Amino acid sequence: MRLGQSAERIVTRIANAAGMASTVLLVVMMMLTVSDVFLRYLFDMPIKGSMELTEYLMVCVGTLGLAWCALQGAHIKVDLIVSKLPQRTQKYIDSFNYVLLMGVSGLIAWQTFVRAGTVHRLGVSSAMLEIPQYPFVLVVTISYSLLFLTSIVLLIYAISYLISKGTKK
Amino acid sequence: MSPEIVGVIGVVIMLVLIFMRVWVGLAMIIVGFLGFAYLEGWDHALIISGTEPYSQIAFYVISCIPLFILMGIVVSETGIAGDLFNAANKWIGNVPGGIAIATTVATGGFAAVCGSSDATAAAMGKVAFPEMKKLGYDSKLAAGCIAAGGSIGILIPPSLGFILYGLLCEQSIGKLFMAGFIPGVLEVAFYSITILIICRMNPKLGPPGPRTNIRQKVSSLKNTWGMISLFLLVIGGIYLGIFTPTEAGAVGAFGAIAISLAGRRLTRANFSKSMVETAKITAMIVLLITGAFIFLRFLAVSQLPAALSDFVSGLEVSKYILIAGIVVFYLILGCFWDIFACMLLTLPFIFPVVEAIGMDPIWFGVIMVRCMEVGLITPPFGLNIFILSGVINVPVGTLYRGVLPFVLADFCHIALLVAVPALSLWLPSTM
Repeated sequence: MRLGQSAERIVTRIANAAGMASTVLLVVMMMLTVSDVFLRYLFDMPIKGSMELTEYLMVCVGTLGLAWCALQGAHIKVDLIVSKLPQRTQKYIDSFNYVLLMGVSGLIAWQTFVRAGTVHRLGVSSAMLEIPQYPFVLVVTISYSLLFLTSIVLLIYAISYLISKGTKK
Repeated sequence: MSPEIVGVIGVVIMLVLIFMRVWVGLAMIIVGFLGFAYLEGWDHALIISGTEPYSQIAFYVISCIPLFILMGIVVSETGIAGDLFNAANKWIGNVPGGIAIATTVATGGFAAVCGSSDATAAAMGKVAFPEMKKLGYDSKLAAGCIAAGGSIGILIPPSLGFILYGLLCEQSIGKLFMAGFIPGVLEVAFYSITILIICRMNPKLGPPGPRTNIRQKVSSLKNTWGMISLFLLVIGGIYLGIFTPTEAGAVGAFGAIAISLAGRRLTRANFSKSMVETAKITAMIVLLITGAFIFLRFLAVSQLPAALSDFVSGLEVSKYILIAGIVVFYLILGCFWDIFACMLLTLPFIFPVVEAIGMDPIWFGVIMVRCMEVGLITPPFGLNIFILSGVINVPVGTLYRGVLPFVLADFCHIALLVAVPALSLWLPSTM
C-alpha cells in the first residue's frame, strides 16, 4: 500500500508539473502572437515562422494538461444514469472505464512514439524555420504516457475503495 | 456486414459507453479506432491513432481556443462584470425592472469579452444578484434574468461554440463570430422586453432603482471603456480581416491582462487561477477534438453520414419541416448534454444533411448554437442554473421557475432567427 501511495504521489506531481508547463507555454504562445502582430503592423517586420511556432506550441499547451485535467475530474462526461446507481456499482463502472482509459492512452502513447520515429527518419520539419517535428510528436507521447500512469492511479483508487468497503460488510 | 451497419453499431456502442460515464472524448476514440480497424484493417487504424492526436492539435486555427478562454477567464476573475453592471444600472436602472434589464445588457456586454456561458452567469451572479435583492426584487426574476442572460455568452463573439463548429465543419470562424453578433444583441432585447412585460404585469416584482444624474451616468462608464475598446479591437480586427482568430485571441488575452493590471485588478493569485483554469478547459477540449477527428475517420469509411443525407434529401418533406425537426432535436439534446459534447457528437451526421438540403452553413451554426443555449437553463441539466445556484445561494427549483418566461422568449427568438436568415447572414456578408 505504501508503495502505491508513493507511486501515486509521484504521478500526481509529474502531472501537475506538466500542467504547469502547459500554462507557461500558453503565455509564451500569447506573447509570440502579440509580438508578431505588433511588429507586423507597426514596423512591418513579422516574426518569421510565427505560425508554425504557434502550431508546435499548441501541441504542448493542449496535450501536457491532459493528465492533470484527468486527476481533477474535469474531462467531459455524461452523468445521467451512473450517478443514480449505488456507490459500489458506480465504482465498478468507473474501474472498468479506467481500464478503457489505460488501453486508449497506452495505445496512443505507443503509436505516437512509433510515429515520432517515422517523422525523425523521414526528417520532417517545419516549412520556414526547419524545426524538426519529431520532438513535438514525442510531447504527445509523453502526455499520453502520463495519462496512462494517471489512469492506473485512478484505477487503484477505485479498486481500493471497493476492497475497503467490501471487507466492512 | 455493410459498412453502414458497422457505422450504426459503432454509434450505438459509443452512446452506451457515454452513458456509462466514459469521458466523451475517450468514447469517441475507442469506437473510432475499433470501427476503423474493423473496416480498414488494424494497420491503418494503428497509423491513425499515431497521427491524429498530433496532427489535429498542431493546427494553427485551434490555437485560438486557449487564447479566447484565457481572455474570458481573466475578465471574469478581475471584476469587469461589476463595472459593466454598474454602468448599465446607472443608465437604465430607474425604470420598473430597470436593474434586471441593466443586468441583461451588462451580461450581453460581458459576453462580448467572454466566450462561455457558465462563466458569464457566474460572474454576473456575484455582482447583480445582491443589488437586485437590496432593492427588493423577486428572487425568481433576479436569478432568472442572470441565468438566461448568461446563455448569451456563447452567441455574442468571441464564442467557443462557434470556434468548435468552425473547426469541425470547416467554416470560417471569423464569419461565424460576426453571424452571432446581431442575434446576440436581439437576444438581449428579447430578454429586456420580457422583463418589462413581467414588471408591467406585477410592478412589485421589480421596483425601479434610484434616479441618477448625467454626471453619474458618464462617470460610471469610466471603468468600462477599456473592455469596450478591447472588444472593438478584437472583433473589429476580425471583421476587417486584420486579425486571424488566433491573433485576435492573443491580442484579446494580452489586452485583458494589461487592462486588469493597469486597473490594479490582477493579483498573482487570480492570475495563476486564470491560467490553471484555462489549461484545464483547454486539455478537456483537446481530448474532445482528438476523439471527434478519430471518430470522423471511422464515420467517413462507414459512409453512414452520406447514407443519412441521401435518405433525408430523398424525403418528400419541405425544407422547413426538416429545419424544425433539427431545431427540436437540438433543443432536446441540449437539455441533457454538454454543448461541446453535443456539437462534436452530432455534427458529423447533421452537417452533411444540412448541406444536402441546401441550408447556409453559417446560418445553421447560429441556429444550432442558439438552440443549445436554451439547454443551459432548462431542466434537468441546466448548467447555468447549477452554477448560478451555487454562486447566489438560491435553490435550483426557484431558478427553474424564474427562467420560465425567458425560455418562452427564447422560443420566439429562435423562431425569428429561423424565419429571417438575414439577421445572421447580413453582417458576415459585408466582411
